[in-house]
Formats: sequence, structure tokens, C-alpha cells
Amino acid sequence: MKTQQNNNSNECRNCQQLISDYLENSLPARDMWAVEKHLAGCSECACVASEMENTVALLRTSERFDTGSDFMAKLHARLDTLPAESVQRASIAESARDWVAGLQERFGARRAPVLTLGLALSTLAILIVTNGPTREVLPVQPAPEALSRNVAFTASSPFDDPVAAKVEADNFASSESRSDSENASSAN
Amino acid sequence: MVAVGTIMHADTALVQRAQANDRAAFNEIVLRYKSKVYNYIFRMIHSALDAEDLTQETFVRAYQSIRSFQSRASLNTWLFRIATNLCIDYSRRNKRVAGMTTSLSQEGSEEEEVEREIPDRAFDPQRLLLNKELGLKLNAALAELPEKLRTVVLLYDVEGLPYEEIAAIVGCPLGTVKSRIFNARSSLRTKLGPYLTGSA
Repeated sequence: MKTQQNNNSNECRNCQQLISDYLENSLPARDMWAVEKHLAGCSECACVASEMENTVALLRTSERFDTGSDFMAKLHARLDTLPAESVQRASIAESARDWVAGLQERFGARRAPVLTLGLALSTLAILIVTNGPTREVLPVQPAPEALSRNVAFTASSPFDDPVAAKVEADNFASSESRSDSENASSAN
Repeated sequence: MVAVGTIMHADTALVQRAQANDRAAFNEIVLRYKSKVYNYIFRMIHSALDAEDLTQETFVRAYQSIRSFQSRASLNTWLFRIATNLCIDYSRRNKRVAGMTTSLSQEGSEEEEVEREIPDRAFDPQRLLLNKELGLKLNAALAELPEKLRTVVLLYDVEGLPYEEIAAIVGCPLGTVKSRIFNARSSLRTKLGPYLTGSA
């Protein structure tokens, strides 16, 4: 008995879920038939269907409201006071909104955000690549030599730049020690 | 279908002329759509004065950005999208929708008795149209709907827009639009049902 009641309530729930589409005639034939069959035997769902139908009819025949008689005059007064540049160019935000809306229409609402994000990331990547810091290609050299060579481009004298001065001093010290060791080896 | 195509074609010609600074063409657009836009906005915000202002604003914005309008969407969709965005901004500003209408749950019992005498089993829309009281009940029930549900049910059942256009206006998938319409109708049915069938 209880199982039958559960079955009935499930059927009623299913039927009521479909009533809106049933009234639109937008259900597949099989579902239309199932709903009709259920409505014929279930007074509760038939009542729901009837109320739903009446609600929709009421909405569709409801009173319509219109603007006042001076609407056009007021609108023209506003349009005449608009600054010219505001008419010439749409704002960036509005253009962006229209553009995204256009994407939504073309690709569907689900895919549009993904596409927009993808395009934004691609644009960002292109901007980074094209406008990133430029690097001078130098032949591979030991670091101190490369640095001292760069210093030669940027400073008239290496001692103008403390870092360059340190590098120069290190170079000098290493060349001194190298010449000392060469002298020692030649003496030996 | 042919009629819709003809309207869209006429709209496209008007838009092209308006984009070339033809004020008469823009006038024609306004005259063609102002009632629909106003009716929709009025039912969304329930204030005649503010609805007129927002309708004006809709067309001012349309005028300002008509050059950027591309005929991917129909003019109808574009205008309703502007109007919907304005309504959303408006209700954000005025969190609580002005209570021009009375709540169904707060009615006096006397008024309820009067309402329950009206309906009968044979539903006659023409007769109901004449019934101002029922119109007020409908307004009240619509005002109590969440904004998202109210938007879609007004666009679909009152303005007669197709699902696809509504999806473009509110920026939702088609399935979401259909489900919101179902929920909105169910909610309205629950609130208005007794007045429509006379069963209660």
C-alpha cells in the first residue's frame, strides 16, 4: 500500500516537473502521452496543470503599461544635451560587455567565459613576449670577463662604478696571482 | 517566422541608418520598442516614475553606443539586455523593491472573500483582463519572485521572447533559462492558484 503511494507521488512529481513543457507542447511525443495519461487519472495533477495553464494565460494577457505622452520630448531633450564624444565612441566597458555577449551568442553561454579567458591569457603572453626586457646576445664567456666587457659599454671608466671597480680589482688580483704562479713555475 | 525575419531586416536597416547619425531612424527604433521596454521595466521594478526614467536611460545608452552595435544579436535582445542591466543596477541601489503592491500574505480576510467569488472553472482570459483586482494579485506575486525568476518569466511569458534570446540577455545557458521559467511559473501558480480555479 505504502509502495503504491510512493509510486504515485513519484509519478506526480515527475508529471508536475513536465507540466510547464507539456503546456508549451515542447515535450517529446512519448512524454506528452505519459503526462496526458497521468493527468487523466490524477485529479491533483490535473488541478495543478489547470492552474499552471491559467497562470500562463494570465501572464500572457496581462495589462500592458506604456510611457507617458511626453516621453519622446523628454528623450530628445536628453539626447540633445549629450556631449558629442559620448555618442561617437562607446565606453570600453560597454564595448567589452557587448563583445562578451556576442561571444555568448556565438559559442553558447558555457563556452564564452573559457574562450574569453583563453584569449585574454594569449594576449597577455604576446604582450609579455613582445614588450619584455630586451637582452643583448653576448658570446659565452667567463662571467667576470663578460661583466667587465659590459661595464666598458656603460661606464667610461670602470672605477666610476663600484661593482665594476670590484670586478676590475678581482681581475687584477687573479691576473697577479696567475703571473706569480707562472713566474714560480718558470723559476722551477 | 517570416514576420520575425521581416522585423529583423527592418531593424537592421534602421540600425544602419542610426549608426550614420540619422536621428529619424533612431526615433523609429524608440517608437518601435519603447512600450515593450517600458512594460518590462515597470513590471521589474514596480515604480511608474522610475520605470520611465530607466526606459529613457535605456534609449540614451542605446543612442550612445549604437555605433558599436553589431547585428549578431537582434535589436530586441540588445535593448532588453540594456534594460535588464539597468534594472539590476536599480534593484541593487534600492535593495527592497518599493511596495506599490500589497503582499498576498498580508491581505484582509474580507478582500480574500471577494476574490474567491470571482473565479470559476471555465477560465476566460478576456474576463480576467477586465478584473483589475486579479491584475494586482499578479503584480504582487511577480514582485515577490526573486529577481532572476521574475526577469525570465517576464521576458518569456509577457514579452514573448524565445528561450535563445533570453539566454543571451541574462547570460545563462538555455537549460537554466528553462528551469527558471518553470520555477517562476510554479511559484506564481502556488500564489495565484486559488484565485484562478476557485477551488479553495
